[in-house]
Amino acid sequence: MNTFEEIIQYAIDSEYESVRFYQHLLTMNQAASMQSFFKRLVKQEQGHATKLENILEKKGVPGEATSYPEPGLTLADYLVESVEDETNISYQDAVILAMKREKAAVQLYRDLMNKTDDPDLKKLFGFIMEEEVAHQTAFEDEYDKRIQSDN
Amino acid sequence: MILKDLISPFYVWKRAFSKPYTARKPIDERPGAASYRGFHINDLDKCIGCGTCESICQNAAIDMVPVVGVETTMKDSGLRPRIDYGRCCWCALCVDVCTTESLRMSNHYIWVDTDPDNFLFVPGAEEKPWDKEELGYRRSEGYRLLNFERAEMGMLHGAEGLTSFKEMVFGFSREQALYEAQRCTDCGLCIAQCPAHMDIPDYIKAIRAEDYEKAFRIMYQTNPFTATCGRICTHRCETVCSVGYLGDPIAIRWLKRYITDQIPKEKMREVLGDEFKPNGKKVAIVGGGPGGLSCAYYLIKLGYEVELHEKQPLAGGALRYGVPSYRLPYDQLDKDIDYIVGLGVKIHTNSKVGKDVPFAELLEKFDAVFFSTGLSVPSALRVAGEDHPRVLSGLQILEDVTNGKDPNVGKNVAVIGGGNVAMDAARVSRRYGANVTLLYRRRVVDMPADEDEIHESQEEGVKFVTQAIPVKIENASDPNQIVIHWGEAKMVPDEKGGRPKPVLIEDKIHIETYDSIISAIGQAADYSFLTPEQEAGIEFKWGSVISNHHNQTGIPKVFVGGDIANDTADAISAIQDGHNAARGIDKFLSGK
Repeated sequence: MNTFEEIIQYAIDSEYESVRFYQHLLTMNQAASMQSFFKRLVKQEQGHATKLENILEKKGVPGEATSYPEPGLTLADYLVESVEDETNISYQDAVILAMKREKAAVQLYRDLMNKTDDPDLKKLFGFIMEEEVAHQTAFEDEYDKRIQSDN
Repeated sequence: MILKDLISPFYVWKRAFSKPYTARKPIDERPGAASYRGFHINDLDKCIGCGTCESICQNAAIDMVPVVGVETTMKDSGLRPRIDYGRCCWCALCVDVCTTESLRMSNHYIWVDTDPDNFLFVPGAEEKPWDKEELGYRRSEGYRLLNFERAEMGMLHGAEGLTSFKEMVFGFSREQALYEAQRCTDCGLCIAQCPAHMDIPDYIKAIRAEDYEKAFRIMYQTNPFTATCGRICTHRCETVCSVGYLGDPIAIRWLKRYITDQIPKEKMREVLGDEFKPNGKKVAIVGGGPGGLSCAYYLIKLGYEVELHEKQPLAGGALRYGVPSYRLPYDQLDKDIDYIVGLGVKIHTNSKVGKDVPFAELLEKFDAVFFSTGLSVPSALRVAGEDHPRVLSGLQILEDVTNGKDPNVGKNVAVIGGGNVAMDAARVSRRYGANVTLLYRRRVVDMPADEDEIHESQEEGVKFVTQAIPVKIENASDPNQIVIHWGEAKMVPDEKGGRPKPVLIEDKIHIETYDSIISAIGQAADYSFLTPEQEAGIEFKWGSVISNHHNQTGIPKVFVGGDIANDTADAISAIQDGHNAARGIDKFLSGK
């Protein structure tokens, strides 16, 4: 994974892997309240993939990504996944699952960014990492607001 | 015709070019006295449009009007005073009574204009030479037309309250209630803020007239839980009270309680005069909390036959199984519920829909169904080691206490959370003799619990540890104990303007041992009583049910309300949902 195209393609594939993952959970969970959540995740991940595909087409990262923010609440660092039955996932566990997947992606792109000396690749990894940080933050905010509203 | 008549028009025209007889300004510009009661100035940003100035004006010189650029909000009527200087007598009562001190007077007194309509003006909205004037009439320091101090409520304090589950708040005496009612300015800002839109100024007016039966009837128009709400309502109304800007807001909640206390249970039917003719249609209700019972009350008044299913042995929902009796004595909750049941609502207790009776059966047998099942599932902590027998649920503890069961919390307890469930779990534990530490991720100011609850918890000796994030739970050397690892948090401002975010400081971890850890971080809904097909007809968002403005779901005959359908998650909002759904069901079934 050395070229711009390879990296972007990897990120796109990862997003589509997430789409498939949430589609799988969507078919497994019949409860409408959870279906609406997984449908939202599928749509969201498709949106991320499309955004990256546009970048691949234009062969350039929009704007400068230099701040490399950290996720806000860092809930994914210490919350524990507890999915025993894939067909009956609670809303709480689904949000934890999603935030942890985003956290894994953040870590991956951060590592890649730190390992490369190529300034263009560094910029690209930084951009994708920023995107993943935003996704993790969104799930953590949702957890904070909806699930542990009293804490 | 005489000669004079012929030449007089020319004579008049001659006057048109000579110096006028009248002075443009009749008097010289002399400055008014420093505290002169001159033209009005109003700070539009400070003004809340309460209309108290309009009410007090003896000459009817003030009326409240909409002003371009001023928005109507919960705290602001969006109206501003317009003054008619053809009527104003410059008495300054409007300034003296102004609840925010936005209205004052300049020392300017000369205003010459050719258009008399210009003397009807909105201070602050139309630019005037005296707008920036510092001099003019001000209310003297300490002089108040309104009474800004609230009647002090007697209550059990600190250790005194810990000896029993006896109600802590004593209630107002007649003198206190009358004093408090007289403080009200009748502004009505509270009506919009109250989720049930209770006609608060009107029932307070009835208190002033000591017509408690009328006051009681006014309350029941929008709320059949007055004994309950008179004790534990979140009293949002008081947060917008115009008197609260410079003093204590009117104790609306305690006045509601006072009215209800004056009407004995056995006289309620006679006072309310609830009569109705059956219309032959039937509605089923799932959940016997405030939402379900409120819906039942307004439906039965409209002639519907109502059957309600409640999974617990007694109706009341979170009011009975989530609020301890020191805040809401059971006999007071029963006063509200028994009246509704007495009207003919059939209640099936110990009847869990989805288990004891299928939801499909209700859909089939009834003309409409309303469900208000509340947030009954406690959110898990989801930290490592949580599956420990000494991790208890705050909701379960409160339910145990209602059922007369010792929750067995031990002598040294940590409660996690900052909402009302956490506060009550802590206070209940104190009453069972435990030392209680409350761990909360944010600051006291961010706690979602009622201010009274926070204050009373602290007074009862609950130790608050804020900015504390639980990260791990493990076994203690004593099998009857538990160890918690919690980390200190730094507060990071939210870029989107929300609550500051607590972020764990990695190297600031505390390890403590307790007899039990009570988790009270939030609750979720349980929709397991719905089949996937039924759920598919209903729209959900973030775990809540989406409904239209009649509380109607995607299944036309199914209506919803309460904590599962609103963002406020309090009793008064559930009561409003129930009332609104009853109107929606009636519209749906009657076709009106």
